[in-house]
Amino acid sequence: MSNNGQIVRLDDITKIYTTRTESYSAVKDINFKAERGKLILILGPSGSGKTTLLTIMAGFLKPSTGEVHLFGKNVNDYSPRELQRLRAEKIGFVFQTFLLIDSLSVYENIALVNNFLINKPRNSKERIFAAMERVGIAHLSKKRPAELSHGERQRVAIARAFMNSAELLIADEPTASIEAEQGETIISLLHNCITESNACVIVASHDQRLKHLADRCYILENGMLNGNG
Amino acid sequence: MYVLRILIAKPLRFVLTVTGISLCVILILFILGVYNGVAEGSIEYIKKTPADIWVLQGYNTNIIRGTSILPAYYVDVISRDSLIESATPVLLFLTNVIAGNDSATVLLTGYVPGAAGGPPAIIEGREIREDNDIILDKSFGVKHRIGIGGTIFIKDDTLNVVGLSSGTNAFVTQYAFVTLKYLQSIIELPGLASLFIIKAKDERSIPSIMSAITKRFGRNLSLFTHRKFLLNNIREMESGILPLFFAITVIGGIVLAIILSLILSVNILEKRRDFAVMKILGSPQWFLDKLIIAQALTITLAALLLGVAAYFPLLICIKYVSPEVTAPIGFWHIFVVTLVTIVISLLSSLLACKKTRSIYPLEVFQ
Repeated sequence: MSNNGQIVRLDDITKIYTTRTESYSAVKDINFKAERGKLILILGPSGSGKTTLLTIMAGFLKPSTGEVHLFGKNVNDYSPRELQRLRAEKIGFVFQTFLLIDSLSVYENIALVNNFLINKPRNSKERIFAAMERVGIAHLSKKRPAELSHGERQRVAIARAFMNSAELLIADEPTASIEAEQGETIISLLHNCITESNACVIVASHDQRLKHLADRCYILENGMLNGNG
Repeated sequence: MYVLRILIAKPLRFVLTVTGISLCVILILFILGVYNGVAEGSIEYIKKTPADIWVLQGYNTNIIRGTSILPAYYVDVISRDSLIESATPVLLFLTNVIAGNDSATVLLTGYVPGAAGGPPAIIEGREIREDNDIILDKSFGVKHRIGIGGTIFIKDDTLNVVGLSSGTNAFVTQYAFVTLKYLQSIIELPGLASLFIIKAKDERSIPSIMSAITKRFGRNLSLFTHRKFLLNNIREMESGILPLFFAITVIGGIVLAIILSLILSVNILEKRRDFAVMKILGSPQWFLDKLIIAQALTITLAALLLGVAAYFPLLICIKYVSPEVTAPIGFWHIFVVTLVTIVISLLSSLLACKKTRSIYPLEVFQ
């Protein structure tokens, strides 16, 4: 599946958006790789192309040029159904706006992703509670997202992301909507997940203070990626 | 759980949708019931009459939508056949009667007391004996508040109600039974009959009897076995009302489908973000389809329960206002309506399922 623990590889990726009057490159000539057991930070201001880059990595968006390799295979070689299964079984997502379903409880939000699996684990309930305990929200299981603080909501999103033992976690501005102190907690929770399940975590953020928590850090500016990768 | 949450999130909308669909269910059940009642009332008289052969005027096939006029003395000629056990004339005549303060139309059926051609079942009272006796259909009696011992006026005559019959409510009109002699007298054509009812001594001799009558009267008479005559009348009854009932049922079904499609589409529109989130998280299309179908089935089943539960009290109310309207339904009717409604709800959800396919996962970032 993956080469030498390599989960994501981007080769010369460029994404050009075209409007009626102009066209511009959201990301340009990007080469990038991410391996298991690493927390990789992509730092960039708002509008630098972070979300575009992450959606390309997850196979939602096709690049204008270049190749995306996910779990050792070119994304173009995956059928839509294979990509969907990949997202359900191997990729977890954490977003700035949490993307929780308001009408479901914390427990149900986390349990929801279990329904996307073809072979559901037998001990689903235990796994859901374990995921909640891992991020310290087991006592909130019956609450609705609207009743939680932003930090708690993000914990729910992390629990959901790791519910199906994701091998790749993509987090887009996971600390943007929460206070700085809680932001560090969120990042350390993601770190714990790496330690426990040897996953690869890719975090896109504008928050420079997270730099010291990452194993590797890239800077995305005007669609160009620079860094120690 | 999510399905219920979506539906209950807007309780008024849910209640209105379920009520709307249950009204469609009631309409369809009512049409089926009315058909059932009409079918039963229209042919029960023929079905229950102990006849082996029915004889009508030539080229007539039924008594639902046909006028048969025969010279009554033919029956004397026919009954000379030694294979015949009995042959009796019956005269049918649509006329106005005065019942209480109302003027009403009945299908007066004149027959020989004690012979075939009388009411299929007398549920109250007795057979007619005298020329001023009359047996009314039970629903006619209820509608006009006339029971045993009451009186009916025909022309200048006063007739005593001596019995009430069932299976004689032909929806648009009801049967009323008098003596053949009396009916012949009021139309002032004493030698007239509408049909003859023949009972054979032995069923095996029916073809021989029919052939002998045909030989004697040629095309002046139409002869039918009991089964064939029953089928002719059923076909006639169906050709008259089935297209209308079918059209009403189809309209009910279309309204049901439209309400359901609309409500499912509105729910998708409102929960578009949730569906996009599920797609981002790796939801397969079948899971989203399942959510839509579960919504459609939940609404449909709630509407079916409400519709069936409300149907029977509604029937009592209708019976109170219009006793002649009978719309009995049984398990089989409920089963068919349930099946049809579920099929419609599944078809309606197809459109909604198609809508979810067009939801783009990245919409969540907009």
